[in-house]
Amino acid sequence: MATSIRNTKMLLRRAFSVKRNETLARNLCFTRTLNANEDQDDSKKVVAEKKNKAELREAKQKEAKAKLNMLLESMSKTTSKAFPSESTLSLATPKIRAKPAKPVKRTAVNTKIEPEMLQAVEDVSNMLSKEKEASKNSLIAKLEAVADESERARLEPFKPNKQKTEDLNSLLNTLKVDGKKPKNKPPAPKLAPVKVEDIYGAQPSGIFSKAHFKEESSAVSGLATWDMLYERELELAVTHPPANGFQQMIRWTKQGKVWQFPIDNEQGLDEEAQVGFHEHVFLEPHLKPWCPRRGPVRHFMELVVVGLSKNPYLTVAQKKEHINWFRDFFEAKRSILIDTGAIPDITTKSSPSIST
Amino acid sequence: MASTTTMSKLLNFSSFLLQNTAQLLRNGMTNAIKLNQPVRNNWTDWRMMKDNRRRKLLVQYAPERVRAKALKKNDVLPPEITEIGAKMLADIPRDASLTRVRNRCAITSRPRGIVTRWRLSRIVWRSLADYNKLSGVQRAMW
Repeated sequence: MATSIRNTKMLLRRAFSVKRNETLARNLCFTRTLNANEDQDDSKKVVAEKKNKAELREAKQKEAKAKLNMLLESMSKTTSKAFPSESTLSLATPKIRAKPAKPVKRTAVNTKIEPEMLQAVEDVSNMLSKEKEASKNSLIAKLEAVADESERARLEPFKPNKQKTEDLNSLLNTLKVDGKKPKNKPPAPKLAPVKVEDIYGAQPSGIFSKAHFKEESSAVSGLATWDMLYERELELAVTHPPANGFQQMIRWTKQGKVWQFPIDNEQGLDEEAQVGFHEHVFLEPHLKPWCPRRGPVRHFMELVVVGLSKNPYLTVAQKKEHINWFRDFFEAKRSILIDTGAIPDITTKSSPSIST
Repeated sequence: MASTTTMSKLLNFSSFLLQNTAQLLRNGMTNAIKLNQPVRNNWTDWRMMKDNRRRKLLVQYAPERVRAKALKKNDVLPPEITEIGAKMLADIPRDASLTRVRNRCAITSRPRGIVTRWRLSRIVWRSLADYNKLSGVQRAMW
């Protein structure tokens, strides 16, 4: 490839050089003739000029042709030198695998008609007539004709056939419905009314005696938000939350949540008002069953009771709950109290003394 | 699901009303509450919401706190019991502490300059008072 390019380049260069030589030659001969024409006669000069020109041209052409031929020959020589027809490299060759045997083609392959149709035609011909081949062929021919017509129609643009439209119109006119209203349908056959005397008189049929009713699979649905929203929707459907602030205030007034004027600090605490002050103040009886009479525990609980007695904000129930909590706490930490010596150990003592 | 969204919006609105009636009844301050913006909650800002959360925890853990404190802060009981009391107090969440609660303005959530009786910041208080929305409040002149 490279050599051929080089050769063409050389050719071109040579052609150009030939041309240059030609032009050079032309100039030369022109000047020569010019110089010559000064001496000779006019007619002679013209003929001589023409002769010279032609000769020169021919010579140059021949020279060029010869050179071209030489070039071409050299080209062919160079190409013939080049490379052996078969490569000397040892490359990897693919393994020759036996191709899977192709299925034997059917001789009667019809492109126009679908294979299913062909199968149907075969079945019909086998079933119906004795001359199976003839009938089959005739059917196939008809199908092919239809296929051809449809192909032609598909390719050509649709042109309404006047005759056919006329026929169709006449047909439709004959089939027109009369202007009468449709008749009522005959009434559905009515069943005779069932006479039921006693509903519970009959014996149970026992249809469902052996039935195993599965419990509805209450699988945990992972849609917690949806369930919540569904429940909320249900609540909203039943309740009617207030639409505005006025409705809300009306609702609260009815419920008694709104302050009554003149303001009474103990509004709403009617039950607590019935409880006497002695229950608030005298809380020592709550300590009596469990608390030891001496010791740090007693000291602590007395302080607690004094504090509670001075507390007007807690209800009696809350105060009791407070004391009971401490009781439970000290019960739980009994061992620690005994170890530290806060509670006298009862089990070790053999006889009770008068002082305690 | 359009019904649920409308219902939820309604509920949102109604709960918002429930929580902020004091503000809504004051016509002069409708511009402080933006009703046309999408909201995650109905608090003015997150700090207000957190403060509210702390208050709820405070109420929840109040008895526990009082008892644990009583056990801890006394020299009467043996030190073992006192230590147990200290541990109980430490186990209670920090947000249940009274010191963490901050009195904020109910409308603007301003932490400073609060008029305690009305739970409003001084700016809001002043604007409402000027519109004659605060009972018994009058411009001082003497």
